[in-house]
Amino acid sequence: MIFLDLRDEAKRAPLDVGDTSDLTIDERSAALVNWRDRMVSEHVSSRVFAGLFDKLVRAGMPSRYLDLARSAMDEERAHAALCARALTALGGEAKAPLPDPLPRVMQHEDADPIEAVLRDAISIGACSETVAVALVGAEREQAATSDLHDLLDRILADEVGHARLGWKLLDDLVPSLSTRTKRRLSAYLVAVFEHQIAFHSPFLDMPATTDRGVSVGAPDGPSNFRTFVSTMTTITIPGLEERGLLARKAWDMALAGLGARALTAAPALSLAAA
Amino acid sequence: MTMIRNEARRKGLRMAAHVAAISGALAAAAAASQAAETKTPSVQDGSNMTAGANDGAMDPADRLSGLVRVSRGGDCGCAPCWGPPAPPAMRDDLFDAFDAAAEEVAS
Repeated sequence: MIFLDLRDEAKRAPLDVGDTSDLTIDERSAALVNWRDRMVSEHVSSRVFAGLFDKLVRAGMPSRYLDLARSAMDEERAHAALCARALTALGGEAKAPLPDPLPRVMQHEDADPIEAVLRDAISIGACSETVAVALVGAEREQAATSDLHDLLDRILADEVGHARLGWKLLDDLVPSLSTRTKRRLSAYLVAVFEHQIAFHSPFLDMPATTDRGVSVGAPDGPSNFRTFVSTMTTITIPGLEERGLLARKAWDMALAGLGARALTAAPALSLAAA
Repeated sequence: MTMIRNEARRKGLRMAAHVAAISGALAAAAAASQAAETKTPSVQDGSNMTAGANDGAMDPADRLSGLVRVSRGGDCGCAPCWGPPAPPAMRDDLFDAFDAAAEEVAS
């Protein structure tokens, strides 16, 4: 088993999370698990931007885009260290196993280089990082101390940059696409939306928490899932439609597939006939 | 959910809308939707495919939650954190399925 060990980084810059003696066992435990998961997730996500960097090179994109993707790689790793500081301040150990194997980063070799870049721009920037902005933005408002607020502020600023990179690529590249390529990208949205729903669905298994829990990083599963759905339906999908992609149709198809699987998994519920 | 939590969510969503740089009309619609806690979604939420007409006022997040809970056989194995997951692969069947669905709408 391979471990991510950021204990030294965390010790070098202690974080003030205030007096946490009033936290319940559940609040503290949920916060510790969340910061540990975030630490690992942020570290691993640097590979996602490395994958985008590679696609940008393959597509001959201007160096300003390469610089942004490269910065994003470093920022994700820096976020892992920030999460390690929060974890340590709450009494946890900034050491955790890495997923083995790490998730495969697709090269999209079935697409031409520009289409491959846009697939990443949609999945990473228009979806994942735009949702992250909404989630981190909300959590920052409730941070317990100025140190935690500043930490979330730093992460939020970077997530904004990562989301903007995706939307900017869409703004610059989609207008010159052929109708056929726009249709292919619209079809890809179905895969992206199914993936986003699967990725965020574990929120549904997490309990709600108190305001005090949220203030130190405990996740509120139901609230986070609502934020995900609101971001997708009121921001991401209208934004993609405005840029010429058939995002509403793709969302409907993703939900239809989910509905079909629901009927297969639990036919007695008979959702279609309800 | 407390007022503080609702207000924090709204601020987060406003930031996300700003990042997406959607046009004025869309941004206004998004803001109105957020203010109403998405009672009237701007995007189809699948209700016509999966539920009866009598639950038209149901929150889209609640509807999607119900669908997800009964349909999934297992998650992707990742914790839903801020770090973006690797983008998914394209499935070949989606090209034909999407074309067919789009033509159905057009006709």
